[in-house]
Amino acid sequence: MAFEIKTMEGLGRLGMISMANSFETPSFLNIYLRDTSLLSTELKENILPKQSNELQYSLREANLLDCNKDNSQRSSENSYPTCFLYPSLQMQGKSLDEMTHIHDFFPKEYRKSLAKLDAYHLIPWDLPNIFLDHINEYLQVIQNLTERNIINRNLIVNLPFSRNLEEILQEFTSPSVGIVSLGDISSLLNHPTFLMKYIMVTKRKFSPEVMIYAPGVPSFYIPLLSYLGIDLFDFTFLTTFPKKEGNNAQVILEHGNISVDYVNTINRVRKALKISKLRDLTRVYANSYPPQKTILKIVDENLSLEQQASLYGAETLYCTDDSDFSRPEVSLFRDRVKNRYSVPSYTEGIIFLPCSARKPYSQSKSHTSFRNVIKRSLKSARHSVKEFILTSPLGVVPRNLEYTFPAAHYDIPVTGAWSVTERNLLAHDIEQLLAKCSDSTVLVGYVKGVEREVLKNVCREQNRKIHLIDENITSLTSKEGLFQFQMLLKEKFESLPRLRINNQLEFLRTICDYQFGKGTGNKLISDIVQIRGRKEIGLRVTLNGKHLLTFRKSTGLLTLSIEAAKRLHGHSANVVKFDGDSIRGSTIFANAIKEAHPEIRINDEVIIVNNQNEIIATGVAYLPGKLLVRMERGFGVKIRQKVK
Amino acid sequence: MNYPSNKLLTSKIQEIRHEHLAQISAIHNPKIWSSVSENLEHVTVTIVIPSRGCSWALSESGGCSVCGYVNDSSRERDVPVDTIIRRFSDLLKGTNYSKKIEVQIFNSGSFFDEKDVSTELRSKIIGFITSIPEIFKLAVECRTEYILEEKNIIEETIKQLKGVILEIGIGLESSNDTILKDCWNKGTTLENYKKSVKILQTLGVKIKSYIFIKPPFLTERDAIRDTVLTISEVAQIGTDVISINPCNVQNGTLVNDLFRQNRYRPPWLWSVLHIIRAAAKIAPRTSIICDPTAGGKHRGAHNCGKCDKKVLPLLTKAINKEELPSDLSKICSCYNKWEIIITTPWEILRTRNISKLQRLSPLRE
Repeated sequence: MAFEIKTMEGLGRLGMISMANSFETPSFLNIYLRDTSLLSTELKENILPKQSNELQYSLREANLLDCNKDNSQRSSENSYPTCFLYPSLQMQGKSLDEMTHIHDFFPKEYRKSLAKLDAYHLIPWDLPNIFLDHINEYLQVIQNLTERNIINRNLIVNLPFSRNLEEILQEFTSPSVGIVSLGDISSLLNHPTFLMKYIMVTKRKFSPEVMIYAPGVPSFYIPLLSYLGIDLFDFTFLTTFPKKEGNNAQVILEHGNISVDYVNTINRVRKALKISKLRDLTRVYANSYPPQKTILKIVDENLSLEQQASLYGAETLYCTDDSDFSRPEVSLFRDRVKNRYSVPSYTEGIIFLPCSARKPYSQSKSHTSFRNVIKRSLKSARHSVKEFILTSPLGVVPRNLEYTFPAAHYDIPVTGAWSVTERNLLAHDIEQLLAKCSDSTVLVGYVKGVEREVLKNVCREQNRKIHLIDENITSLTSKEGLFQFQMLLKEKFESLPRLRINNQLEFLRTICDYQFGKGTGNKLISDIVQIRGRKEIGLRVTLNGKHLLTFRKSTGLLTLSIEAAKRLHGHSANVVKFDGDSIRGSTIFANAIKEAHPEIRINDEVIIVNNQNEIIATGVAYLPGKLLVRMERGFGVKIRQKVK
Repeated sequence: MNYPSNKLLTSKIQEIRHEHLAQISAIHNPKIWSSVSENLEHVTVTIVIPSRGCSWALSESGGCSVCGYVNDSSRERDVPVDTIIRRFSDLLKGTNYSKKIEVQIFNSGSFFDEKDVSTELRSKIIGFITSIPEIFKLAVECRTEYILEEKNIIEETIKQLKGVILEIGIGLESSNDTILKDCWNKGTTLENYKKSVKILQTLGVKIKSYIFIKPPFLTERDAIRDTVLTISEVAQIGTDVISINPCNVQNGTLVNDLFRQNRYRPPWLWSVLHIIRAAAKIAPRTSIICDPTAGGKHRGAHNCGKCDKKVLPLLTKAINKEELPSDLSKICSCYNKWEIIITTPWEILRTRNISKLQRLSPLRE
């Protein structure tokens, strides 16, 4: 009876429940109602009306046909975990203040089944206390009654919504239950702010090992809710469609609410999580429903980046509409370029270039010709001139970061017309860049159209002089254009000093800064390292014959060796403290991690230190820093290299 | 007497009650409500008198969570004894004494409570009743504690009535003590009800038991279960009449607060219909009456709003044990929806009405 996280994207998580069988989450719950069985047969027959055929159809569709039957009568259902609901305390004839043990909540005849770890049980609640704004007292009782032991992991606690939920739960620590159910979520689906509050407060208050269950939501909400970190769903919403066989077409078009669709959606979500494409899937669904889109926007704006962005993820990153410009991967890149990238002190000039469809840029046809022109016209003086690529939605990409995720992985729909958001975004990033270089830096822009316009406007506002090429040239790759570019460069950069710079070293240092923090590049990579390989394939950096770093072309990032960790330790935040002295095996589990910097992201390279603060290994984080500390099960860090 | 109570519930009800009573006391003018109905055998005259007010509702406990009848009582004002008697005699004259007359006097409290109905008022009413020979039956209502404590008053009243049948209505509401305590704040128990019934049976008084449908904090499914269980229990204890009362939301009550927060929906008429049919099977020898207050209205037991007018007559049919249409879903499609609400776990996890969700689904109320 345990839950562990396999992979995460955003707040969404792909997990594994291990019970008698193991289940992959996000998943559904099979729901069964248990009534007290102490009634005479005559009463039992009369208490509820006989089920009509239509009802039976609805119930079958919603996977609830057998929900009133007991364990023994059930047809075997193995694809989803089981959950039992019990009559409320009032119906059982009990009051909350009489509870002395968690088992008291359940009818006597079912207590034995609580000890088995094959199903979840919803703690029936004492409504009066909760309704009168005393959720806290109710939870307190449950918290006091659930000791920290594994048996309680098969319990579900229901958390009703109230507008001051955050206040109410302020002084409250989470009880050790397996699932928390957001009972009111289905009434809040059209209220993005309330919905966000409901989910976020719960996530903050309950430990990450507690799964979150959203009962009664329609299938088209499943991707979004999964992205927000909800693990369990059910089919009960389907019962609101008491239709005869053959659902009417409009319902399917608008809502897609047939049970097959639920199953398909959850499978899609799982697959998307495995290849880090959940955000894309969410957007597909959200685009057809305004409240969902609102939530997506709120998430992008309000949630801290560490919580959602991984350092690298999917092989490709598609930004197809405005809301994607603020997606976490993009925000992370812009944020790091802004805070961690520094223009080298010897820079005398800057050339702005347009982006290309082929990534990395330097491998595209257009950039090859641009670079040839620069090389021919500036010769070795070109080293004191830095190239920047203007693009949407990444803003300004330094040439040295063109391999780094997501610069070499993104794609956008290109029409030549830029939206206002895109222009503002680009203008903002250019401003940031100009603030970093000295006033004497010569600016040259070989761009046309919108980029040219934005560049011109920004420079005018900043009182900087920029040399742009003629607006009228037909194409930037045309002979005429390139000739003009050559003339412009020769004219503006004639008097530049000739520098001898090791380009590869600088390339690696820039990435190092981006990855581990400003200034780490110079500390980690000294001038005497040996570099083997090519950027286009991968670089291997050694120092005095010892392996230091590897540059991977696929992600555009560096991997650490022990040697590098020694040089880096103390200067970077990517440190994880292992609770012990030495390690064996190739994985550190989350329960063995004592401390981790909250800024660590998924897939970050981390240094692992022991209790004495000695470096014992390097590795890759499976989970964000906060969760590394809070989780008690599941993978934490994958080891790259250990100290021998 | 010391009754089990839920402190949180009591304090909340008290707060709501006091606030509302303070609000209406300035503009409030106690009214006498009356009605006359006739069947083949006798005429029934019902009069609701503005007595002092239910002592339980005016006590520190705040009263029951669903009852707002105390709003219409006189409370600190003088009880208009003479007006009541005058109105009473007018009503009786209106019947022309053509048939036997049954008189129902309701004060929405306890008829045998000194603080509620003064000895003067009671003796005047009884004097008036005995003066008219056509009256064969008097029906009043009383809480259990006054039956247990003021047994001598009842005995005296029986003597004064000189052969007129006395029927006392007792509000049991539910046979589940926890529901009485945690949902109702009723201030009495099943045990007290049983004792009262025994006392009244020895005195030869007829007993009418009030049973409620859907107190606050219960789901529709649980409410149906509770009512059916209560009916079976009450029939065994031995009551003469069972009166089934679906909830109606009255001002100045806890249930009104919840109703306004969208956290309470009055019972469906389908539930009422189902309970009446179940009662006929479970308690075949007890006579059952049911006249939903505000039936079909937003604040009373209602269905989808379209079929209420069609379903209300069905209730009367069911009470008279007449044949009902076999497929109720043909009357209105909302029957299917109700079926779903009571068979599936829809309401178990939700504290709110699902009306907001209905915007997402093509199925509207």
